[in-house]
Amino acid sequence: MEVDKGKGEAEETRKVAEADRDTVTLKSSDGKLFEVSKEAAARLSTVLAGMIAGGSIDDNGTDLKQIGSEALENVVDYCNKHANSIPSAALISSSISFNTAPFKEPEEWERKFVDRLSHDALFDLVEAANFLGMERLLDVTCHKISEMMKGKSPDQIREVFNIKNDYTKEELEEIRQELAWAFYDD
Amino acid sequence: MPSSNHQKSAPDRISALPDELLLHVLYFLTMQEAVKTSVLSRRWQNLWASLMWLNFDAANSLPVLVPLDAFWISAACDNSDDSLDYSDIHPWIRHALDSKAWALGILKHSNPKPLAMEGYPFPFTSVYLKILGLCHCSIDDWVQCNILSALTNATSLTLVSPSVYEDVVPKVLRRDLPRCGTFSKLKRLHLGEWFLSGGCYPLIYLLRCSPGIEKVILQLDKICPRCKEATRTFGCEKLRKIRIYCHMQDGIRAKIIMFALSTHISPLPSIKIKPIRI
Repeated sequence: MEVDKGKGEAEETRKVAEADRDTVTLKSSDGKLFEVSKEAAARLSTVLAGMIAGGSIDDNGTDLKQIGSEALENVVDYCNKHANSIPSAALISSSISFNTAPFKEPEEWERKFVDRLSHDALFDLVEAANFLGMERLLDVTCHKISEMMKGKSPDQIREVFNIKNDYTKEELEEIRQELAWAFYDD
Repeated sequence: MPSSNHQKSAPDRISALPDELLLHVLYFLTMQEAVKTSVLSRRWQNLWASLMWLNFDAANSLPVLVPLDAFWISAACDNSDDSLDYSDIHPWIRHALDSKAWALGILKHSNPKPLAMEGYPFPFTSVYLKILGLCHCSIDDWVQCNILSALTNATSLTLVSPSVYEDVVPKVLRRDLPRCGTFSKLKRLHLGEWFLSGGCYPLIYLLRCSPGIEKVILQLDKICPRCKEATRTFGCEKLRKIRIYCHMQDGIRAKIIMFALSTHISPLPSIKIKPIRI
């Protein structure tokens, strides 16, 4: 392919500069820019890792049209906090004793991180983590949601999450009977 | 509906999540809690059944009605007496066998006492079983038990009982040996101390009944040298690998086993002796 020599060189320099930077700039659906450590982004998000490796990171802000600024801020915040955290002995030992488990429980700082989120912010963050392929952040957010369900009756769970019961009375009775062994202590 | 009339306008964010994320959430619940979500709404019906991991409290759960293909128990127990008991597990084993499961195992439970299967005769009788793993279990001595002879379709057997109570298992298994037919599909055999009894009689017997055997693992956890040998050779054509795991100081027994094997099996496969850490 024929390329103008001057332009080619400029492109080259830009690419080198980009590779040298240790942060990447992400742009939310509403146009806000966020900086995140390249190392942490690549380690925690399979999607960002792929973009960094594939050179499709835009210096002026990589467009993430599916993610709003509040969720993206939380994603970036999480990456930066994660970069500075040292995994606890408990996490390491739990991964040894139960090393075939697909998911892992969150650390103390991760619990605090999601505890402060509003209901909507939590779900925005789950969706963002899913979109960006962030396994660890999915563990943390899904664990938080599971905690919101724990120890609650079906009615209470519906109330917490605004789930509409679309069963008929007869259907519900049938399901409860089918799964009676799970409801024996109700 | 008894639920949230005051928030009717708020969206249901959780039910809008894709299945894989809901399963990720359910993973962190106990199995009973996960199963109960079936009644929330149609979106949640039977979602739990797609969970690849069921985290259940054995003492407080009853067998599920879904058939099981494979069932492995791997329990972390504390030292208290009321932790894990075979009566907790038995309904699951029964259910797995009733579902014609092809793999079954009780593995890696860390209770200091072995799981006592007293009062449960014929615990693993199933012609559908291909893989059986039993570690750290004890079986009634007086029970007429045909564990081995019922496993003629097995492709892999693990029979290890490294504990001070282990003499019961070998007695039961050894008495069962003469009832065994041919293990025509058996490819992998992993035996604990008991194979040594009577001059490696169980080992030699099982090898003779297993024309398709490919790999043998022998695990010696104790340190005590004593072994007699008998003679009569036979061939294991497909046998390629024998691994013997023993303590460094236990080289004598390893040599005796080598001798017993070499007098019986011809040609001799590759044999490796590997140390185990104490």
